Amino acid sequence: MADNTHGHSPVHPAVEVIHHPKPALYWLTYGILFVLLIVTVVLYYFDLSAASGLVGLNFVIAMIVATAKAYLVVRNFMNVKGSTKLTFLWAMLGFIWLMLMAGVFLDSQNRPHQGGWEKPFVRY
Amino acid sequence: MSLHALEPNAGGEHTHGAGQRVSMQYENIDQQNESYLVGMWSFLVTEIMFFGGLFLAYSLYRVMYFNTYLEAHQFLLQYNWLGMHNGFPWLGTINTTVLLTSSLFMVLAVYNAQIGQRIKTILWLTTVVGCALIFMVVKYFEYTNKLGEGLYPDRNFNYARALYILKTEHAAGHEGGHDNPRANVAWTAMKDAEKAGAKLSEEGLEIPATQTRKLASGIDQRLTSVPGDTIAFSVPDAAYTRYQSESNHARLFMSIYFSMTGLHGIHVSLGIVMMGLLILFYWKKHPCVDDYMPLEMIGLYWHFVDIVWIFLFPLMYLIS
Repeated sequence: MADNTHGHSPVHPAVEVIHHPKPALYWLTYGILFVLLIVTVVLYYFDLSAASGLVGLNFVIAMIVATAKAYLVVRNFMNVKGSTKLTFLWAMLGFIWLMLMAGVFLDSQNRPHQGGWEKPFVRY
Repeated sequence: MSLHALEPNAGGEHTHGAGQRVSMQYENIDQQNESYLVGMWSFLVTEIMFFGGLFLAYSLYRVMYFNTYLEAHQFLLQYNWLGMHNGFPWLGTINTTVLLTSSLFMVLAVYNAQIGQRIKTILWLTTVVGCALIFMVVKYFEYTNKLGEGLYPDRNFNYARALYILKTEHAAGHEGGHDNPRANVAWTAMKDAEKAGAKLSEEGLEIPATQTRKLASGIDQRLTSVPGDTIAFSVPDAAYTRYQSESNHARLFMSIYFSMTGLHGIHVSLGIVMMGLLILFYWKKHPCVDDYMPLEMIGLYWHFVDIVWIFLFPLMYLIS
């Protein structure tokens, strides 16, 4: 049989192995995602801010639920859990960008108010 | 001579797709697959940057004009489609369900490609495309409805008309006013404007020809025509000013809504094209799909599209 390894060792010790999950995990993930979707919609009809006195509580919980859904998709569907460390690092890069976005948001919120809209163009 | 060699470790302790070959620049199939994945994730990071800026814009203006956002998002819950106008986010919920389901079908397609089940791969991919098409059809009805209500943020944007529809047609049965108190405030401002001389109709606010306005120079000029959007008129009345301001903020919300969901829709459309090509390649037994990784890459893209929608849904449709 011809040598088809190009002279390299078949398994390089520095290379990690990618593990693939089974379909059962996919169905379980889908079930949880569906439940979280129901939670998201039901949450819309309850004013938790009024009940708790905490402003924006509905929004915060809605974002936590959305983040949980995104985490499940990234972890199980996009298989970051079974991926190599390098792939995991690359996947996390996007979230560093989002943190920078959060920094811009906080900066804008901490600046003094600078007025509203300019008067629109008036046609005759 | 082919640049590929058969993976020597295939069928070993960890599974790989049937027919995967190692290109000559790689040590083995794991290293090759990792390169694929890192490359695709690099692309997805740029996509996160892309959408991240839009999410930031949405967040900034939501904080600045929350009351108008709260009011304007009600427009997204009103549909002149199959009687869905009771304030429940039907279209957004349907589309979220469809996309989550398509993500499940996609991973099942990838799984079947990994174990060499070509026909099952084609079938699962077809269901994904079916879900994507349902998503776009629903989006088509949603967009046409909003355009019909004058909510596209161009010069024909007509907040008055949209409010009129919201308060009359769709709010039938809500005699005491809309559930959202802020919408009622805006509606009251509209009615005040009407008392001041403007005519409120399905066409928007119409100012009678006898209505005059005073310029800065102190010269009264007669308004003989009213622009289509009826936002730019200026009558010395607090109700007009308030309406004008809220109209601008609502226009901003609709602008961001169309930008973000439109961009997302473009991604869905591109996904349909790519999956259609993959189905064709699998059907023709094209050599490029001997390896399951092209499908896995499209799968990553599709899951990313799903994640963007997971955040868009509560941010756009479920403001409370």
